[in-house]
Amino acid sequence: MTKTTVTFMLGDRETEVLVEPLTTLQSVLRDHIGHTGAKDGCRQGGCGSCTVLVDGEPHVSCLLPVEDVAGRRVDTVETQTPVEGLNRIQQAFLEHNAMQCGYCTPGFIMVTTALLDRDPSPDRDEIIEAIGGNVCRCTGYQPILAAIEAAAGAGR
Amino acid sequence: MAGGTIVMNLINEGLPVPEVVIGLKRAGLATEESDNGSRVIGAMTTLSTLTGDSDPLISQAARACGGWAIRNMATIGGNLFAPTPSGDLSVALLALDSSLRISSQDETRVLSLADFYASGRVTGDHELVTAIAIPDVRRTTRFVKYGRKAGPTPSVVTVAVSLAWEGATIETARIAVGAMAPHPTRAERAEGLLVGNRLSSDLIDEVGAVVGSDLAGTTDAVASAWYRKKMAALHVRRLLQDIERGDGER
Repeated sequence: MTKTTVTFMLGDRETEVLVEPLTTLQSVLRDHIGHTGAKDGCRQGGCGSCTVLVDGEPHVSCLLPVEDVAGRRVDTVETQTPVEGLNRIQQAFLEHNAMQCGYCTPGFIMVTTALLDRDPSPDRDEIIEAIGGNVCRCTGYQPILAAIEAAAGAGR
Repeated sequence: MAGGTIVMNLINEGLPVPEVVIGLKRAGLATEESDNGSRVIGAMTTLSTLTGDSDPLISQAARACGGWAIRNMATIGGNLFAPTPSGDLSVALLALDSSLRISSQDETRVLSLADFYASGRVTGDHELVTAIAIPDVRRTTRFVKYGRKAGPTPSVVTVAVSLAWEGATIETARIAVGAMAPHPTRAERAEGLLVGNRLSSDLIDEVGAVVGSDLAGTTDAVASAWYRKKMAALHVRRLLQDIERGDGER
């Protein structure tokens, strides 16, 4: 198949890739660019470990052809981590033991980023609905909810 | 390809990439307009947009599909083609007597959603579903998606009920169910029992029993047909009981 060139913003950086048609954004991030924050979980859109933001909105990168982000902005846990230290959400996850194996964590952090950008003070029900597409097999979710609430509080 | 949540899943499973794939995200099909007493919703309208819809049946059904990321990508048009047990929004659309605008280069034809399913979801190679039309009719509606767990999950059974009234008597009844057939389907004999009558607990029990016996159910990794038939009957009964208890809805 003839490869195609796709240009998009990865954080603040214009990025161009040459790919087979319908290569997923997940594969582009992990295999072409080396950003392995977005994980390879189910490839069905059900686990959420591949979640990234496209123009600020959560998308499951495993089901997203990279052609569909041409000209748009993609944010990953890598683009959201400051040069030094951690951002407010990452810090809250750390303080609340919201990771064990850490595999689901970038997905949760991206959804939380979008949630708090949309609504700086979500209630618990709104948080639960927002993270509904992200699966965690380790923590039982309570530390994640506490971390998100703390991150919301710290932002006020 | 619309949102890609169905097609890319298949590609990830090994479906060979077709020779031609047309992405619809920039085709201008995500607008809504009014036409002759119907809402006409562009086929590329995302489920996320519809979670905030003023029609509670549509907003609940859209919210029942997937998680936030999936809803940002999935579309009302794509959901029509979702394999059972998926397609929860389409169950609601069926209960609302929706019809499809199917366009080709020369014309746009209208097909009821019920007929679309009955025909096996077939459209011509040169055709595209461009919009979904929903008649603007006053109805009492209820929706439930019952799954094995709370939150995003494949459906054991999805039910949408829509009733229109003549005073306290039911004039029109729609009971649409998902996961009970290869596509969303209506329990027509059960609907017929409601028409011309008032809701009563005896009638509701009878309607539930007919739903359970008439619909075949489907068996997959999520649930057996046997269990789905029981749950379809149960949830239709519960939704009707909830309507019976409600006040001032007519």
